Amino acid sequence: MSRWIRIRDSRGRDARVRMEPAHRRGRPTLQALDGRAVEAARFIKAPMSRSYGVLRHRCPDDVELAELLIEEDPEIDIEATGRRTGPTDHVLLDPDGNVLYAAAEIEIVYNRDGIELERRLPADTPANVDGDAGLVWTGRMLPRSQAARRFAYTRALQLRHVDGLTYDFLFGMARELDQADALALIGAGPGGRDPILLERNGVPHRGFLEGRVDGDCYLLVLHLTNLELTMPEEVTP
Amino acid sequence: MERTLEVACEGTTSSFAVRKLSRATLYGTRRRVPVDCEGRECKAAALTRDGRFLLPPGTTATLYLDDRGDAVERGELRAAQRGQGAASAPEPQVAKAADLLDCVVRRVYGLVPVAVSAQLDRRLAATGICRLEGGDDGGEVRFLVKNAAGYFLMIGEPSGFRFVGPDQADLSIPESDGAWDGLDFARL
Repeated sequence: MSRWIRIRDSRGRDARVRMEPAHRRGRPTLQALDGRAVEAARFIKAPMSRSYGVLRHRCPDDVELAELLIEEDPEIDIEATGRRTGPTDHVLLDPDGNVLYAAAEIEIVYNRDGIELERRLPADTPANVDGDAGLVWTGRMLPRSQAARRFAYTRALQLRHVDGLTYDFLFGMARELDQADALALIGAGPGGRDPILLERNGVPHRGFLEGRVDGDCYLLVLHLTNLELTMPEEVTP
Repeated sequence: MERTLEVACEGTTSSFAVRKLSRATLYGTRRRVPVDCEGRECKAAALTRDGRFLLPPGTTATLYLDDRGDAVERGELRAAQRGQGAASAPEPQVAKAADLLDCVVRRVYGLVPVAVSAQLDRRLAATGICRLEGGDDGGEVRFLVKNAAGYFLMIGEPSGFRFVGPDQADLSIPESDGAWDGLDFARL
């Protein structure tokens, strides 16, 4: 399903057009080595009431707990163990194992070694692809051959026209980029300095616009990246 | 155990140590977690639809069952073929930047060179991108990329985008983001 995007061209003219995500294939279907079809099923090992934490709470003494495990098998629930879960609902549990009916969120920041740096209240950040200003060209162009080898583009959106005027607008943009054989860096906010947020509180990305033309047809793709192809410091010679 | 990638090219073999690259390993990461009223971290669990069993992480197991209901070991599974693909060519093929841009990258690995043959480097010198055969038979494509920072393996999926002409306007119905409270039925 496509969504709206407001975008400016290199001359600063803007238009509201549609953007369509790349088709995402599902996970590959699995089968046995001899070709038999298989299905994944989730089974209960033991419900929470039989977990180690609960048993430990019941029997703080090691010897007593060991005897209990040997004599009564309290970790096994005959009715539950081995039963298919079937469809389930998602719930949140506090550290005491109680179900939460209202939960707040915090944001935890980690460095690249996985060490926690900071805890803070998460900021609510709106999407910025269909605002009043829209996405703008930053004026920076990167040759196609360099752009492909410098970043990992983990999302892609095709821009499509909705009428004759927006066809001319997008076709002109695609032709300009095709002739330059380059991708244009685009972004949100003044001068396109802000990252692109497709969804509210979504992952910020940098955007590169690529255009190709073939006769009177065009292909205009917004490539999104948040990862530069560079080696982590520990493996850099 | 460190994973390695071996690439055969013109009778030579190049090998690389494989390191998964992600934002977390390069820049760190941010994570949103639910907390209770005392600020303690909470965890997700599953509740069966009949409400009888509360299942926090570690209390369930996934099994693969065949049509007779027998369990099949995970190591005895493979991806089902999606059509008959072309015969696999062991040699890496020079690819253009547009070939890589026609894909959406799903996984990125940094490759630490152990032994790189001159033949492979010569092939990479053309565009810096070679297409490798392999993948999971489900439409994945693999590219070996060389840039100033080193060698990388990028695994992606074709985006499937097509050129559009003047008569192919997107006329799909846009999603409504307005509330349904402004229809003013009292005026009808």
